[in-house]
Amino acid sequence: MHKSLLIDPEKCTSCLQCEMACSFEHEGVFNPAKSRIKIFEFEHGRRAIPYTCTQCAEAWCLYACPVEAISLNMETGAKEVAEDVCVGCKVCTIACPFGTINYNQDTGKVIKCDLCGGDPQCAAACPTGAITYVDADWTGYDRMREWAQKTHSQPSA
Amino acid sequence: MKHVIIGAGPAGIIAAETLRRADPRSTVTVVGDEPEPPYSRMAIPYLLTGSIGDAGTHLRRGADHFAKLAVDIRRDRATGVDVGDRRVALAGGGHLDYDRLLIASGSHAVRPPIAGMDLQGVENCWTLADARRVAAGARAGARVVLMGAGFIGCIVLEALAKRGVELTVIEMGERMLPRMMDDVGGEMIKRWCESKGVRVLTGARVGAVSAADGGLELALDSGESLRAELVVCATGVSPNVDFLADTAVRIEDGVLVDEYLCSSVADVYAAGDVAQGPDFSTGERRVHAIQPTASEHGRIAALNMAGGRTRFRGSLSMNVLNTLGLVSSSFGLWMGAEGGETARAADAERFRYLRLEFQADRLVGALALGLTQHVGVIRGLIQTRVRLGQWKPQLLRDPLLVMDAYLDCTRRRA
Amino acid sequence: MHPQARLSGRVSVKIQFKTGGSLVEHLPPGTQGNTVELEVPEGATPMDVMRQLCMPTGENYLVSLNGEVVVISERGKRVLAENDHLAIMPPIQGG
Repeated sequence: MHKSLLIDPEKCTSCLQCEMACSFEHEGVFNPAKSRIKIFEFEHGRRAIPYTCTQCAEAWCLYACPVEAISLNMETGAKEVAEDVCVGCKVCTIACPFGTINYNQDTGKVIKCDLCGGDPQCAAACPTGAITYVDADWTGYDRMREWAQKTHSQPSA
Repeated sequence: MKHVIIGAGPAGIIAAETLRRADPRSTVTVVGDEPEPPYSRMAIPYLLTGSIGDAGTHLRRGADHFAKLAVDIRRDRATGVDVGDRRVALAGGGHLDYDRLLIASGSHAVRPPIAGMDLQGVENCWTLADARRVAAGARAGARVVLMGAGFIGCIVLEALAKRGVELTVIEMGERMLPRMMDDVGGEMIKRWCESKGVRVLTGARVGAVSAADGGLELALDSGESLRAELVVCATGVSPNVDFLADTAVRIEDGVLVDEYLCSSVADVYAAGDVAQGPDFSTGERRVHAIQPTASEHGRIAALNMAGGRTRFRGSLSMNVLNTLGLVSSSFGLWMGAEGGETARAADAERFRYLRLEFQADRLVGALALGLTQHVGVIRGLIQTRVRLGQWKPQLLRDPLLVMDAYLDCTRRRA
Repeated sequence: MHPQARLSGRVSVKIQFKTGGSLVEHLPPGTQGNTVELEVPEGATPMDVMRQLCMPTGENYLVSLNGEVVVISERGKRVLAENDHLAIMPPIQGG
């Protein structure tokens, strides 16, 4: 059974530890701007939502990629970008209806959450339990996944 | 069941792979007329800059990928289809019988009717073979004229500039990207290019091209004349449908297909650049010659060829482009919808621009310049027809709140 | 019918004409959208229609008659009949 990131915005204090951990894991620097998980604040900081890829079953990014740079990690269920194959065309960034795969101007490639190969550092770093890494079946499924389904089946007009 | 696919681009290849899964015992034959393994035109600009080699353009890794799937890729060209006898005639003299046929023959580059466009040194930039010729001619310091500043022109523009050529861009329209950007965005991109040393002439026409001193001379309608060693023509593409003449397969802007990607002839489907299929935004049938549409068409056409009944909800016209480091994107009805409302935020100094188009309280189109983070949510909002409710007046005041609106609306809805 | 869409003094046929993109500007003034009824002389071919509308008569368009492709070599030969649907589509911009 794959595990997935369970996000509980109620517990998020917007401390940005997850962004720091993510950027350090992937880019070797503590720089929230380079994080694949992003905290969005509402109501002048009274509410915060950690936001990242849900590894949706539709895999819009994977199917849109013209050079097969995005593949499914069978072990974790993550959709991963092979940086040496990605040409930086950015088609995936407009194809993903969640906006969770983004272009990195510095490298000329796209980046997205890869679940850190099965040990997501954002969850490890979160001090309040707002981000946890749990078995996918008992999370009741992330609401964003339901929404992914909706994108696919919404009747036209 | 014998499936034949005409065309080895993304639509054809994704269809072949989908057929193999959905109809395991069928035979799948793909006919492609280029002397390369199946590749992506999207990758050509990166080949021109030298950041990838030929193999980097290939649609699939692994030399035995198609053999392992038992997908037969044939190098040949379809010259005709007999829809009565269910037979495709091939240029090599043979033929292929089919039970179900997919037309995924794509499109070809076309040149404007201008004298001298057939001279040596005038190249398209559409196929890998074109790209190799362009690469050979676009040496550092060479004078290069790029005709056409549409999507393909602009993506080639970046690659040419990176090769260090002395570049002039000529666009007939009044702005760059006339079909992907409005005046504000087109003007910003033009100014950006000029600031990077590229000369951009908009509203300009080439009257004639002639040979001069071992190079080329372009006479513009304005009276100016330009010298160049290389002219790259990116003035548009046209669907490959000539082999369908004398068939009952109906054509308009491409092969007309219904919501199952089936043409006017039973068991003949079409996908990708050649298909004129349902448009998500208008419900009309349009050719959307873009990668995401090719991929979605290919998958759904194949599911239906395999005996399924999967409805295609319509493709959303969208593009993303990097022009010398300035990233722009467009979605859906970016030019506005009838009775709709527009929100704009522009920062000309920092080359940032966001335009949102609404119909009632739904987002139906958008343009973005200089924004690279989370642009996908724009597609999400448009394609799920999310009701923005109280967010709409806020977005009309400040369109940059689009990500906030997205998160708030989708969290509450889900 | 706008006067410019009519050629006078000869027997003529009426056709439904559709175009797109930048070629729309060649439609008779006042045309709504990209479709118009045109009156063309009897015996006219798709090529004649292009001339009548002052379109550049290049080979870079997609021409179809009643949904059937008209290849380049046929565009000056195929004779239009009453109520024919002729479509002349300019190149498209891909992505």
